[in-house]
Amino acid sequence: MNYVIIELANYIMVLLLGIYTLLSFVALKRVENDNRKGIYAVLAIMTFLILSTGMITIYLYELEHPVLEQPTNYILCLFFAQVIVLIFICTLFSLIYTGFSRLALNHMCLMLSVGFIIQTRLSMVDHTLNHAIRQFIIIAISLILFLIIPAVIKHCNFLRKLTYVYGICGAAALGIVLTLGRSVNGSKLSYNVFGLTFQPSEFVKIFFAFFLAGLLYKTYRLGKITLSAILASIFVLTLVASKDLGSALIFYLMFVVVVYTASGRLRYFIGGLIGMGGASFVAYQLFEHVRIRIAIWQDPWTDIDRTGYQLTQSLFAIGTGGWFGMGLGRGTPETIPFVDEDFVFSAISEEMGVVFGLLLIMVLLNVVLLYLYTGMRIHDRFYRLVAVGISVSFATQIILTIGGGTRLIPLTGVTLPLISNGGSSVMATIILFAVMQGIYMLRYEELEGGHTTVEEES
Amino acid sequence: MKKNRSFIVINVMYALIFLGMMINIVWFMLFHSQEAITNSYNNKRLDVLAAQNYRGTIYAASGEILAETMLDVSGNEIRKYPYGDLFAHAVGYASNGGAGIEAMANINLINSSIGLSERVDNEINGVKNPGDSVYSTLDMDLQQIAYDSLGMYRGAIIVTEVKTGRILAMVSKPGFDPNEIDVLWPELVEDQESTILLNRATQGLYPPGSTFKIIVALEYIRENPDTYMNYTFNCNGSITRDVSRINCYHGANHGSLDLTSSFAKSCNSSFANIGLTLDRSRFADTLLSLLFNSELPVDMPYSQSHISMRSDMTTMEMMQTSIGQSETVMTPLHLNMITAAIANQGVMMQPYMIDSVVCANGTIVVQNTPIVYGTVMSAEEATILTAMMVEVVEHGTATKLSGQNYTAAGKTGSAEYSDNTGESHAWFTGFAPVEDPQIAVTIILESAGAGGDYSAPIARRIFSKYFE
Repeated sequence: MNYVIIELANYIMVLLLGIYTLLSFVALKRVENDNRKGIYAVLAIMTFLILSTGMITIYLYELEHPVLEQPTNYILCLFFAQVIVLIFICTLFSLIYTGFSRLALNHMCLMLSVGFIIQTRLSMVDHTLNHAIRQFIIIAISLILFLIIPAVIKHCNFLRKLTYVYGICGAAALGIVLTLGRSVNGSKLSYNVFGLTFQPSEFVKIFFAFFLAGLLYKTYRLGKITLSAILASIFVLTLVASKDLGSALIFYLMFVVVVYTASGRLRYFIGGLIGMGGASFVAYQLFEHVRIRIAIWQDPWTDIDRTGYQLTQSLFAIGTGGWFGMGLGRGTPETIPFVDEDFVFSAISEEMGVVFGLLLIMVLLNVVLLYLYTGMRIHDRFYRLVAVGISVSFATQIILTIGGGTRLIPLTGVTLPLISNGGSSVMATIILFAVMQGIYMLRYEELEGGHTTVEEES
Repeated sequence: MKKNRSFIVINVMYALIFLGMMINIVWFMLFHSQEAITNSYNNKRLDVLAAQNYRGTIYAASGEILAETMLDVSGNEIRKYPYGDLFAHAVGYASNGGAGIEAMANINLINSSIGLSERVDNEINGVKNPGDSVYSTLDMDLQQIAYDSLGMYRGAIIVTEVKTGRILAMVSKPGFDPNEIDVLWPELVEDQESTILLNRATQGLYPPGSTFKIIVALEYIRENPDTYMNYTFNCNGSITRDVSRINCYHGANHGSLDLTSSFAKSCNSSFANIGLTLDRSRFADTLLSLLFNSELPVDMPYSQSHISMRSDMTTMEMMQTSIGQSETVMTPLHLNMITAAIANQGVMMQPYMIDSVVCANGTIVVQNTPIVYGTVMSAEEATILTAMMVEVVEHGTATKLSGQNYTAAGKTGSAEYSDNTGESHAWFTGFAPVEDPQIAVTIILESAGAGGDYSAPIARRIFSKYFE
């Protein structure tokens, strides 16, 4: 029986995720329709089954081919803990709140589940589950924030008045990294607080979304836009100076899209994109590390054992894994440096299959579309802009990490939200999901409170 | 509505980018994943596959086993090559980095396409899965006759099917016994001089000598489509232009010649004369279209043929180049591809050695089919060249091939490789039967002497075997 499960696991997970993806798009289409309870139940069951199949496969494979120095049962304990925490948080969330997005809640659980599976697997490269357990604890703590934050969004109306608090805190956090931060691979991304490595740019993204919304939600005259451009450039340039180019790009795009949404003027958007091209060109001229990244992207093969190593190993992993993957535990994702963070998508493709990876991209797209719809539907201009900023941050981050690892675009070294290893990233993303839930509920209250629907108004 | 336009723009933009990411991945899987998988820097992943499955078997076209994995008494896997030296370079070896079909089809051989239920059965019984098998295009009889005919000479023979590009025989000497490769390896690594691992058929770079006159003749016909048949030259054993002198082979005096007889008798003086009349930039274009100085459309390791064709070349350099000497070098594989293209009415096929990959349960995993590289000359040009190459066999330097029950066409070459000794490599390249060409044969014997004397008879043996 064990062997049957090990061999069939990837096909089962592809089937489950396939059903999940299909239904999530059905649910997205009917987002204003209340007749969806059945779909959400199926989505929840699919999520549970994917997590179970993945974790049980890892457990069974470990029984046959032991690598752990810890007792094998730790895997099952971790699995039970994961299930209990997810069920507990979802139940509690449903009890506390009404009018939230069940689809977004489900998506968060699914992404966390895929993260649990792959991080447990990658943790075993070191013959322990310590990394996976540590990541799980951070997630569990973050999920408590997930319960609290929507209430804050709903009830604290003063949040829209703290524009410069967000701005100063965000800029300060980035400034501290630049001056005191720890340098990894030439980029300064993090600093240590109480022995924990803390990567502020992940959190500052949310601050930045609030900051931009606060600046622009009342007026979007040219003067205000110029002011916001100057202030936003402080953020972006600080990140460039820290050599955190991926985050710099995300912040820049957030700014461009929020200005576009606030003003509704396409020329700002197009101008912003042209400006991005110009800035990239200048960065290419100025910085050696940018030129190296571009060179690797154009041709990773000639310097395969040095600069091209990471990207080529990523491509090998995806290619060798094939459409249905090597099976959890059976690949060699550890040959890719930073596989658990920047290249987690390659590890998923190698062991769980490219088809699974493609379906996962579709689910991630579903999240992006859901968030953009949420922003589009809410009347509150402040939260409308917050939602846009957060959606752009989330979507761009996914594009940079998956596109980078599959050689669509140059590598920038960012994480895959909720799936990559890294406490700051996962905590910030859970907060992001919480904020979006809060915004979704505000929209629900608008509807309840007799606001006209968008369709009628337009 | 205007209020929401920005959302729709952003929506569409992100949906398109996400779609682009998915297409990019699918594209990579379909068209580039094979190169990535077989890359030598991917060895750790390949080791994982190899540990899960037994390496598959390699077969000749007619089903003989050329390489298989067996278990010795203590249960270790050993790779057996039943024919020893015979297929050394074509089939290659699996260890020490791999070579030949073993390397080209490595991923297929270590991968297993058997069904899930069989996999589960094997896992329960604790046995490995059988890797997929590879059926080559190699023909036992032709390989044997080519191998025997090469005898003690250093050199190479390659035989291909002109209409498909299937490689029927490929021999390189000196060779080695792939069964002994692990024993030989340390010695070979020590000995920088040894070339026994080199596949001379695809990687050996030789001056083409007089076989290159095929290409010079093609260019002359191209530049003089209406008057080439009026060409005349009076040979008195040498030609002198601008104080540079070219001699005919062994100083032979060929007398009064036209283009066909210059070609049939392989008159160096006449071809040096023709070469000086050619438009060098057009010639350079022709050479490029025939894949000189460029990549060949094959998936096996090979060397690039090299030639210099510039407007500032001296008279001597141009005359030397016109008779296939000077800096020009090419591989037997490349010359064979051009020969086969002439036989195939100007259409060059991509040579290949792997016919199919078959799963242990009998289903075909990959079936290779002939691939047209392109039309490298017009059918008319191919017909004219064929007629000239028939004349070589009937009345020229390759008369040792005449009088058979089939009509062959070809060109000999005696390529001088040293300035002072006058020793030469013996070339022959040709095809048969002329009426409906089937196979192209290219032969080089290092330091043997004249192509007509040494290589043409080998071609006769191979043709005779094939048409038997």
